[in-house]
Amino acid sequence: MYKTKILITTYNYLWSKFRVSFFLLIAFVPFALHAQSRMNTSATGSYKDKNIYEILTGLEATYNVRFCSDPELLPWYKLDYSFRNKTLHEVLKSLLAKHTLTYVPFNDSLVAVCRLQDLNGDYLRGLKDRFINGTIELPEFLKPVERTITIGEAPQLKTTDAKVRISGQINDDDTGESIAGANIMLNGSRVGQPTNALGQFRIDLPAGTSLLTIRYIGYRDTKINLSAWTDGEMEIKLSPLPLGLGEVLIEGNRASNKTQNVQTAVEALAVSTVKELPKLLGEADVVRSLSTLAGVSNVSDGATGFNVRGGNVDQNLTLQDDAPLFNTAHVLGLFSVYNPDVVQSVTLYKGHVPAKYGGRLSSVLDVKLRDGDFNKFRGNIGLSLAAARGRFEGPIIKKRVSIIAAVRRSYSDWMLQFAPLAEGKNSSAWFYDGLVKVTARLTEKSSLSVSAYQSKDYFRYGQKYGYGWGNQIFNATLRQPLGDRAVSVFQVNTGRYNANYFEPSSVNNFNLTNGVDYRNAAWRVVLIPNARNEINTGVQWNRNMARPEVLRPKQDISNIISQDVPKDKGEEFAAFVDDEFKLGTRWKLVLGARGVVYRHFGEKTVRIYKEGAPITNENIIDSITYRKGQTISTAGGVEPRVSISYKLDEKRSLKISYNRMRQYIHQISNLAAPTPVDVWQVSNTYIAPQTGDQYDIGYSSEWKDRKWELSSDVFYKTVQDVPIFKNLPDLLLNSNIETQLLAGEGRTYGFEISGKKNKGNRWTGWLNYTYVRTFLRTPASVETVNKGDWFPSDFDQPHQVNAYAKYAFNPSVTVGFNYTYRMGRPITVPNRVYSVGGVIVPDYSVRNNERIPSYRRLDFSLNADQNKSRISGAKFSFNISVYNVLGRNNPFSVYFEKLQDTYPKAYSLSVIGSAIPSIGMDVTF
Amino acid sequence: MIKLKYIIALIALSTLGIGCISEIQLDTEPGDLTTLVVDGDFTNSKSEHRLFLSRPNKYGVSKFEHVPNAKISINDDAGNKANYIETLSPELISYYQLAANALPAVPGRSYFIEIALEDGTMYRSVPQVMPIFVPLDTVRLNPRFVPRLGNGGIVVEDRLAFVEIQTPLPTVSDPIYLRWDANCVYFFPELPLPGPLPPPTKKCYVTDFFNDQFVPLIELSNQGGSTFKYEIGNKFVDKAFEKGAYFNVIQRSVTEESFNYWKKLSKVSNPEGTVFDAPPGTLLGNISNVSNPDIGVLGFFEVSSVDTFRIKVFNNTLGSDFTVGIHCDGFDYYRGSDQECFDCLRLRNSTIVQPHYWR
Repeated sequence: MYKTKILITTYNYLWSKFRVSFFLLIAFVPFALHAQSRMNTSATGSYKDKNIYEILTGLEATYNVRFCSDPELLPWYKLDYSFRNKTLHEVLKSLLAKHTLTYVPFNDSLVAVCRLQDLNGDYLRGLKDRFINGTIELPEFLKPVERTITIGEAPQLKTTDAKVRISGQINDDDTGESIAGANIMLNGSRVGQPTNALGQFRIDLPAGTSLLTIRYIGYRDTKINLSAWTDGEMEIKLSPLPLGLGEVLIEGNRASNKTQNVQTAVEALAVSTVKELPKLLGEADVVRSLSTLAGVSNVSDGATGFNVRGGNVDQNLTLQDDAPLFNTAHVLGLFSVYNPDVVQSVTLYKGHVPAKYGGRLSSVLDVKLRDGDFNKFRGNIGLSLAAARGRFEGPIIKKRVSIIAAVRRSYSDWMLQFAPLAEGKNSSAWFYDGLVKVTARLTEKSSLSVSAYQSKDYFRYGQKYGYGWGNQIFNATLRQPLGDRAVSVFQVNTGRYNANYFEPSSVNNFNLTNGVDYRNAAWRVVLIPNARNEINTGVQWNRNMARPEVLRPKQDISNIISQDVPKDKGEEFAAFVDDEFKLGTRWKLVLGARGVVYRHFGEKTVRIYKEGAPITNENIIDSITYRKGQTISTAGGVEPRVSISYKLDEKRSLKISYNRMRQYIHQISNLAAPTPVDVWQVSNTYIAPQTGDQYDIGYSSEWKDRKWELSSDVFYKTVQDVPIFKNLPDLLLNSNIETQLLAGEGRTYGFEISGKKNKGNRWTGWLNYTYVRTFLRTPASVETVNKGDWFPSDFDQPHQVNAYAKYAFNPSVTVGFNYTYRMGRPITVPNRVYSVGGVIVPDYSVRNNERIPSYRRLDFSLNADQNKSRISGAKFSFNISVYNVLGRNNPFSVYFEKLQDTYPKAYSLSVIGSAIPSIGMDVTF
Repeated sequence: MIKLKYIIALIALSTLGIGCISEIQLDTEPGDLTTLVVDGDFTNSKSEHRLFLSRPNKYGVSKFEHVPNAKISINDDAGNKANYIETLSPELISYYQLAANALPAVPGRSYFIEIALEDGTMYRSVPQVMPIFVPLDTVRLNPRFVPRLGNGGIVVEDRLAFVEIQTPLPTVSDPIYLRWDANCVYFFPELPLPGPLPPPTKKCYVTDFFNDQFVPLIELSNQGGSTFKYEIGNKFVDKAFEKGAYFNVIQRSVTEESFNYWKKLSKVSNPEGTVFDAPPGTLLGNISNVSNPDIGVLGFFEVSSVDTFRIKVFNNTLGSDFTVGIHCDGFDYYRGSDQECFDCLRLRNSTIVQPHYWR
């Protein structure tokens, strides 16, 4: 009686909730009434990292029933699911409901599982017929790839302690390309060994049979039943997942595994995380997402760039496929130029920086873009309140040549119609960016990719003033193997950053332009001489040519006089080598060095200043003119890079690192958030390269197959020759900018603690706390700032907290909460006043003597993403976000303004001072 | 100093009404209040030359302590020397005065001052060459409505009179640097106080230093022979126009050092919000402490050639759209308070001394 009641209740539920046809009830109740005994048998089970189909397959054995379903229509994402002493009814109800699935027992041993929207008699009859006829096809990628490999012959007498050493190579089954970072796990363990940069691995096993599982993002799991009796080699080919399903997997790259990784303070941000974080105006954003990481902050909403451990924005090397970007901001900093639709990986080095990177002091943001699909055409279209996006990719020649093209265009002008002032309504703001990348596989293991990228921003405030800026990049990369143990990468980049500021209609209307042109080339070799060493070496050339500052009247009636201020040019020649090697089972080291020769070259007339006197216009004694290309001054040196990791056990490691970095190009900004037209200045006779030394001690641990992670870093950094502007400098249109700068020194210290929950059926997320202090001082001389005492830098925000929590209703429907707290950054406010000529003059005699109020923000997002559940057809994803849920007026800065007949008062300015709801959608095909 | 336009740009973008500006209170520790501030000039004007010595004060305070008993002299490169005399104005303001004819003012000749304070500390200015004379041809007012964001985000339109100068430029090879001082002096008669025996009413002359935080100045090159037009500032159209007001414009031809000083001072005291704004810092002028060069001195001693132009404007001069109602009749308080109607010396920069040019 009780069992019958359960069934009736089930059908009532279906009827009321999903309006199942009466026919359905009539058709299947007779079967259902017999489906009692097996359905009500209690059992216990546990499944880890399985998709629904795989769990159902397991339940078939446990309960002795058969499930018929359309595997193509079931969610393909993987789950952890456990139950204890539950009937099959209870199991299916708890398993299926939150994935919008249901079940209908046909009889005692056959149960249909289907989506709620498919629940009708016709569908179920058809499903049953196809099941009985055996015509249901399992999608290829759901079938496990299993292989059996035997190495050597089994001995007659088996010894228990014999060991064998197996070397292997893992390649793409389609293309033959080696796969770096694939994980090899032994006998069901979830902790594995990654392949090196050439896709090679070496593993010591007990002689006999072992089960190896090989996993990598975007590829089907492969299981190897290995019978190894002697040392030997093997090649394993991984089959790529179809339709880009691998793109949405959350697994990180090698850098994301902090416990196994030898480097200190390296962060990998999964693209899926970028897309899930709460969005501003519906746009996912790489740079804004970085500020959720420990040690990364920005000035406020709308600020250009980001700050790492209290460093300046220009001290971050921001790369896109190894080409530098001099301004990552769209719309004055509300968005960034990285299009998440084409981003493959985001890695931020803020502690140990590999020797292949150089030229900036604080961090390296290495964003790699995807290649196009070599097998099928696909793409996506996205819409948000701010912009529209489109991506298209596919083979030009199947399996040989692919193309990916993506474009974004804002339509933010409409928002300005809500501005209260006429100037606002008559304003204009837009951006676009576009990328085309073609990749050709020349041979099985060599490839050539060529890409072109362009971005453009425009902002005009009424007819009063405006900004424009843009990036252009052309990139070509050739990869080819050098024998079996090395691969070489040759790359050339050429690009331009240009910016302008204009005032179109005043009496003194004008247009001011500047920027940077650059060229660079690099040849890198990854060499794996043996299983314990991985050597990265190469040479690089990088030329930066700051573009002249050009001031022009915009109209004939302007009082502005045209000016052309030539800027400096410089180039770096670098050679580098890193050797990552293992000592025993616990020690890992990266020993590296980067040697740089820098030259500042003409043509230019260089002033000679009185020796020992301050560099001012009053102390000029002579000048020397250098012809085009002639070397004016040189600098450089060796930059050691060392990182050592000691594994306390499989789940805990200690690390220590030391870096020296030099920076040869500097953004001369007098505002904490740089404007697009801030001058880029290369090192010259009087502006020395900045030199930074950073020490970092890190600890990483993990539990339960990386379900939980805890990491912390303590760091100390010194910087020499950091440019500090003098009091009231003229930074723009100044051909002798050295007269406005002092060579100061800086010091930074602090620690970061980061706790993460990476896995879980419901809650995941992280909590980061950073304590960082950053100070500057000018050397003792006639000209000083703050009398030569240490003073906090613009980015000294001692306490920073980031928290992110994601709750998954199921893997494709999630809600997320993001919380950010940062102590207010220093600003300079007047500390006395005096009167001259009837003008009350505020005096800023102490730099950075105050702090703006602290920054607090809570965001919310709801994501529904069919990419994680649906196998075929167009897939939709929706995002609803509320940015700054609490509507807090987080200050961007504090400024002083004198209204009529009042004393100048302090005003806090918030770019975003209320909650901003937004919606965005994306369709992938 | 914040680049206000960049910020306004951000707000305009993010608006939809979401940007926000709010006044905040800062409790900043005051800086050194013992620094000497020098404020004076030497010109070819026919009137006396004034020099003020004072000390800075806490931020938010508008009164500045006079430094008494200093001995000040001015010297030229011809070996001439004259001394300043400490005096008190009718408005009870202490300053140092140099008679108009105490030292000949000759363009091309250089001048500097020396200051000896009571405590024996010596100060000296960097010698400056008096620039050439640039005549001021005419001054006119251009009335305009200018919208701004008022309380609660409501757009209000201010009635402003823009002061335009026209000046013929001499043909010279070197750049010309011009700076202007301008004020508006208006007449304000008191109402009799209510009551049986009201005291006699006063008549005040009130000076408005319009745009008093803004220093109009410009550098002109290769424009000799042309007539230069420039709006040097603006003033609210208010009670000043009721009974007629004089607009006085002093055009100064200044040195390059002076131009650079005032340019920075203008940006520090009244940031325009352009990318050309100077970042915050202490503005040092052309005075140094001879006794201890490490101690900074604030202010500037300027040597300039000046020309003055004056126009009188009445309520109806600017057109009917700009007519202001009677201030003290209780109906149209455009600015000010009723107390000013009974004691006109409450008004800022108010005096009962009639200017010599008042007709």
